[in-house]
Amino acid sequence: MWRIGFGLEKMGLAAQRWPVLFSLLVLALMAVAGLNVGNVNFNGSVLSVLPDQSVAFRDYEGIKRTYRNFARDVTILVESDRLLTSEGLEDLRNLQLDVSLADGVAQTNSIFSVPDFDPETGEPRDWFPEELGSDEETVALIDGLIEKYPQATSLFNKERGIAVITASLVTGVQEDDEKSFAAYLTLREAAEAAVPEDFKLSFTGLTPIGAAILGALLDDQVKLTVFGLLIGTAIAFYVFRSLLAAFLCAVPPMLTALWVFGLFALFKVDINYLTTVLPTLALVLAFADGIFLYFRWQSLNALQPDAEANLTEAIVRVGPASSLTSITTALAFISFAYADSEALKEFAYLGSAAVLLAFVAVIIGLPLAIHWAIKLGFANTGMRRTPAFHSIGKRMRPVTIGHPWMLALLGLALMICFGILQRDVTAEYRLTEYLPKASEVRYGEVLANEITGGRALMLISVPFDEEGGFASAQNRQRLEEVGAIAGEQFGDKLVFSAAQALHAARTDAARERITEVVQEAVNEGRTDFIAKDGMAALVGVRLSSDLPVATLIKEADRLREKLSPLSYAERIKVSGFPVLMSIEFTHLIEQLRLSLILAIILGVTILGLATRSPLMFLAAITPNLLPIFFVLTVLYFVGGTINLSEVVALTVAFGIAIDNAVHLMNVFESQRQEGKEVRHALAAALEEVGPALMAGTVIICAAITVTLISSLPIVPVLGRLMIATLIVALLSNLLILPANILTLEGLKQRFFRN
Amino acid sequence: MMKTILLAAAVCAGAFSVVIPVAVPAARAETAAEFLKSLEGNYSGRGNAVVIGEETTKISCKLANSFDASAKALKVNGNCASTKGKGVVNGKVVVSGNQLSGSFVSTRQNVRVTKTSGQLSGKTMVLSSNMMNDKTGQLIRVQQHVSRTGNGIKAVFYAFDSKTQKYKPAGSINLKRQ
Repeated sequence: MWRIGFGLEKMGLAAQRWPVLFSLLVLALMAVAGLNVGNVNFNGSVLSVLPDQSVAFRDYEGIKRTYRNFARDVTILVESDRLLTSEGLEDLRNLQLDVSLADGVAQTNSIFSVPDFDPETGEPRDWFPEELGSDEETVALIDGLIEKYPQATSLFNKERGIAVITASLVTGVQEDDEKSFAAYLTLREAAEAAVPEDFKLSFTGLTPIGAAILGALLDDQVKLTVFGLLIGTAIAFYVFRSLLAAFLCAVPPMLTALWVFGLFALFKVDINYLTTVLPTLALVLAFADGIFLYFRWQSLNALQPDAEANLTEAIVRVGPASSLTSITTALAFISFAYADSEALKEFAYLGSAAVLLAFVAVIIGLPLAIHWAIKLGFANTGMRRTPAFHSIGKRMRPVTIGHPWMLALLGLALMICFGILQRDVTAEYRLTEYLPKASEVRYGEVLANEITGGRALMLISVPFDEEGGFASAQNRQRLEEVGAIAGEQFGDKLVFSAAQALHAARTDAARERITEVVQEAVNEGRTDFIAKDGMAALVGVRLSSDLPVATLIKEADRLREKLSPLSYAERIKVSGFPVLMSIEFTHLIEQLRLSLILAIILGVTILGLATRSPLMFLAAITPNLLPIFFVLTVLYFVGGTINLSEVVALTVAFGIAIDNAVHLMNVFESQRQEGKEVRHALAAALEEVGPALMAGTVIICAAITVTLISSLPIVPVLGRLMIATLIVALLSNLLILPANILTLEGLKQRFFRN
Repeated sequence: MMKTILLAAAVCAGAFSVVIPVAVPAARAETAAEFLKSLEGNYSGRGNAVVIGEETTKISCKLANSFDASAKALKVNGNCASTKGKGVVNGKVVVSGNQLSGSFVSTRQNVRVTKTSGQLSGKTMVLSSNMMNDKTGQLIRVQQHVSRTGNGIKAVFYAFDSKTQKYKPAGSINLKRQ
């Protein structure tokens, strides 16, 4: 017997032989998982997938230690028609004061906080008086402030009637996700309690974003799992036209979902925006493999009366292919371990484990369920209603067997064309792609990008060599130099530093007083401008969080080049959240694309090893590369970029898509071993496997459509890409794989006849 | 930057607990301890104070007052904020016989309270405090007038102007019990 599954199907045979023992084992596993499910943790941080040892990450952490964690700031956007009236502006001030007092808030900034100093004495003063005058006077004050400090436009947009309040969280809270989210919720409650009815508030910043993603993850888990199961069961009912079949086919995915959640809890792995899709994927795989096994059992039941014997045969025939498909999919996941990111390594191992659990659920859970159904008299043998797609193999047969050379060449040509085009697809990261759809935080982020020039900050740390902070002329000069270079590149309106206030000072006394004021400010306020030890100062550049990474990298490089003539250029650090993400996501995506290639090589190699046939190895290359290159080519034409989730989706899709080849080859080889000639063996394989492959693909694709209801935009993208890959994979494995086998067999006959 | 606001708020916070024993009329007058106890609770409110320069600016405060009956002391903890910053406010005042003792603590390390004294005038408590800026050696004198309102506390602050040798208004705050 040809064994491509490394004998793993014996687990299913053992379960059938000792059903009570295995049923108890399954129940025990369910109990352990069920007891642990409540301990599953969720992590909404966008940073959670970044490698924490890279230079860019160390620079980012360095800036956080030297100054503070700017990425944790909460941005509150206030929209009202009344903002240009004295009363409305007063309400804004009161709102800011109330938000400031919320627990966990270190300080807030608004148009009222723009520092203004007496140029002679350096004494700080309020631009806006305690009692605002008439509406005209108020508008004149706003105009005057913006004229003197153009950067104030990032805090107040007159044309749109939008004001911005930024709140920084206290240092101890900034470093802890849970505390930050709690502080944000307190802040939000305080703001909502204090806000006048005609003010519309929106919140954004990485803390609200993290909290929103966290909420979406929790919501998604229930939705995706329940609807995934329901859709899969409904499709199984459609395919087999039987309620019992639908129920039995739902057993492996239900077990898989439960076990995977238990696995998360047991190993204390957080569900983040990447791992959130794993339980759904695993249950979809369990559905697909379960369908193959059930399909074979039902077909045998139509011919032979012994249902238990038919089950044994179905396990023996389908089990090896299921083992191998699980191995190839697990290997596809393992390929993510190639990336530097600890979170991606975690995703790799957890994904592989989830796939293997799905296999166990199929090879043990389904035979047990069928066994007990037989025992309880629910399952009967005899002719059933014809399953859906039963004629698909027959229809494909003349096409693929009739024109093998043409199809093989077409596959090769397409693979080369798509392969060339996909090389120009570049890495991309946009924060808004990770924000829940129709969420307030998404609205806020888009609005902030539109009206303030962007919420994200590029942070340029300027090193000082002299003690005394801003009191030193050399230090001030450095800050002004760097600020001027940044201003020239990005525009003065978007550049912030203490240099603007220091520049306005006319006397040394004024500069000393300003330095004193900055030094005396509370920690979070001071570190907006100067390092905790006073030996460096910050120049901040406001950027849109939607800026393409390629542009951002280019801008950062351009800035570094402009700074390079400065004697202290090497010690200037250019970082901040957008810079970090642009560097790290590009790097990660490139690594993941390599992982994808690695997964393909591993998958096809395993296929070659399992079949012990170089011919099969070669035949499997084009039909399995083609779907990936096709989707990448589509991405090339629709924008030319690929993000992290899309690479992950393609890799996982490849792992599933190669299953088609495994099942076809499995039956082809067994037909060959029964003595059939190549063409007849292929025809038989297509006829037998075609309906199951079609049904499997339909079930997987239908079940994956559940991702469309996710509130996280990256999850439906992942689903759509997988569906596209799987459809192309089905076609290429039904058309091109048999054509390749025939063509290569023909070549073998011609060149290696002896 | 937060110097004055913190001082003002700290003084305000401490002032809530200062009581001068007064002659008890025929109808029994409220004792100092009772007065302090009546200030217990959580309060928040808005007002103004001198934060920078000489002009007052809007502030907002949130305080939690707790009275320790055995020590006859009122502890005040909370935060005050202006549009330029936020600072912690806390204080402790103890009633001992007819004497008041206590200290006002601000986040400013360089400022320490050197002397406090006060009296209850009608339903308003008047508290004077002397503070020293250790860094500059400057003596700061402030006065607070604290009275209860329907559902809260009103505190009015004064700062001593060495030029005119008079107390000048330096802000006020209306706090509501939460």
